[in-house]
Amino acid sequence: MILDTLKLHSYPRGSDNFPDRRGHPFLSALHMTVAVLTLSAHAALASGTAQANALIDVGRYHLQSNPWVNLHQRLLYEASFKTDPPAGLKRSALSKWTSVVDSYRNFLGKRNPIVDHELIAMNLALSGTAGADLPPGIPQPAASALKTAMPLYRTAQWEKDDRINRFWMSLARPLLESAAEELIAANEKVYGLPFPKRITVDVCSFAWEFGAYTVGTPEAAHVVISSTDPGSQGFRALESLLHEPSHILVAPASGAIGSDLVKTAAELNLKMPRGLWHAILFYTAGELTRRALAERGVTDYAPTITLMYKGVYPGFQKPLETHWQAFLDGSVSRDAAIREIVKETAH
Amino acid sequence: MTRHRRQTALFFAAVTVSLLAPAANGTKNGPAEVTVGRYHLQSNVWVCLHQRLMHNARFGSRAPLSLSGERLDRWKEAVAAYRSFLGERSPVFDSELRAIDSALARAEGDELPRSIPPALVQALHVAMPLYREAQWPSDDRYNRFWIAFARPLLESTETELIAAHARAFGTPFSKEILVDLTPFAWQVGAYTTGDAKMVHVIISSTLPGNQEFGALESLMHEPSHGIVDEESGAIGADLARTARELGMKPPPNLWHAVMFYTCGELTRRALEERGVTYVPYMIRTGMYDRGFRGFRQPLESHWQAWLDGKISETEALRRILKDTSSDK
Repeated sequence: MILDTLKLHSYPRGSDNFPDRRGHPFLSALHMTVAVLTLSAHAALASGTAQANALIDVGRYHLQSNPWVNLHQRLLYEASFKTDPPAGLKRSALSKWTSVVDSYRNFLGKRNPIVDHELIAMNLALSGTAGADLPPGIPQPAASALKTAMPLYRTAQWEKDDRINRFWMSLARPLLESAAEELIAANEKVYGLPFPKRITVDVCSFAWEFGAYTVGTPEAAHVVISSTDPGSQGFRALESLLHEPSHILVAPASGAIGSDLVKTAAELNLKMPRGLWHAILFYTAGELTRRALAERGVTDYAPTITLMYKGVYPGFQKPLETHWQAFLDGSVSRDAAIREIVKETAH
Repeated sequence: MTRHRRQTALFFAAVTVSLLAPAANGTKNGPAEVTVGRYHLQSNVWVCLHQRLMHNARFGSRAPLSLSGERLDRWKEAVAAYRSFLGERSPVFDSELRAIDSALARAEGDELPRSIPPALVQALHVAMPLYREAQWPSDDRYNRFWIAFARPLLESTETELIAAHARAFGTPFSKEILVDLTPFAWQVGAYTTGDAKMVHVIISSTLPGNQEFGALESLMHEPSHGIVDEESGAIGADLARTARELGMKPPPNLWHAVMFYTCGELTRRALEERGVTYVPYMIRTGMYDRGFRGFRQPLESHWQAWLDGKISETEALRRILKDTSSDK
């Protein structure tokens, strides 16, 4: 892994409220340290037979159910989006949990774990932690909160979260074994860029606001996916596992798609609608997944974007189904498809 | 979907041996045979061809698309021979056809079992080279993908779901379950023959209702036909007795609706424990608006109450009969 060239790319699925991506920051020394620790911890986790089902490797994908990441993601979610605390907590335990959530809320402030360097590094460090001890480098307020919460979490919630995560992973495994390499090749052909070389997928009960997000670089992507979100379950797991790492290649105004959109919009003197880049990413991952499943006898797969045209992407369906589909079918060039899509959707 | 019938001795021999015909290669497609607990899932070329020819002969499904000219004519000859052999018979109820399914399920290589009737031997031998060339790689790929996804579903839930079904039906679940995945599975995409000792299930790997999480419900529903029947076995016998006591005549498909409900609800619960919100087949495919019209409220009130442990099975059936049946 080439740590000194790691850039952060991070976008949630399902939203287009993205911060300005200009000036992608480089990883801090802390981040590099925890990334190194991640590698060694992955090895430790993989070698433990008792944890065999908590870690699954399929090609470049590494799926895991990790209690520290799950606790962290649950606390982040509860602190930001007000979900219920674990149902098994009562009286003093619940009070202690509530205090931890409050301290997480203070620690988090207005920050977003998808773009904030410290939070990204922290998630990565936790992802590499196999044992009972927290890794070095976790910010003190969060470390204190996690240490207090872990016994409560293990007693009241972890067993269930882990069971659900492992079930999700066990179903994702045959999907990846059958289709991952074929889908990666198709994805690379569409975007003209290599897919991330190593993809760590932390399967969690919560994954920030929209149930999945991705950070990382072309060398190593780090995906967090909710195992309880229907949008990522069953055959949809395959689309999610293609969509999320694609965020490393596709960005709002750079990388594949984004830079093409910016250039074309400038040439045409048009202002692109917000989220068009993400809609194209959704369309691509969904259509490639649909094709792969059809080759395997599944003929009724509805890509995720088909459920989003009315609410999230009004006005995008026809341009995408006409022009981007034509590009995916090989009947027009990518430039021509982008040009027509921009013309039909831009202001 | 089907009713269970006792199998011939041939069937028992077939399941015991449970050998497979060579399948299309390719590890990425997953294995052609998987065993999980009492389940044995397989993709068998002879069974798939047989099911395809039966479906083509009876329900008019298309010949493999790439066949044309003289090769298509030969395929049509095989289909015509099948049509003539089948007559009006159903592989779900006809003992000879059930025995053929069982024998083909253990066929290995290019040799057909000796028990296959001569009329079919010729048709199968004519069609097999065409099938292997034009269709089998796709069919086998679909089957293996289905099996690969079904395997972890069974590994996670089999023991718990079998115990839950045994409790709900008041009788042990079928002990050995041979599942053949095929492109077609007679009229409705799945059927079962056999009894509580051993069942032979045929499931279509391409029917959407049998795919993804629906595979798990199918794998519970179909073997349940080994223990549930219209007027005997679990549900059927109790329905018949209760109807007699009440002087009522139950709707003819009520036993099947109760079975559907049970398997769907138990599957839903198992998946919910694993973080999945599952909609049972009956609801998903609109069966309450077709063959099971008028059954939803009685089942959701009374049978659900039995499954929740709030009332006895007898009381549940009594209330369901009162809500759905006519006087004799």
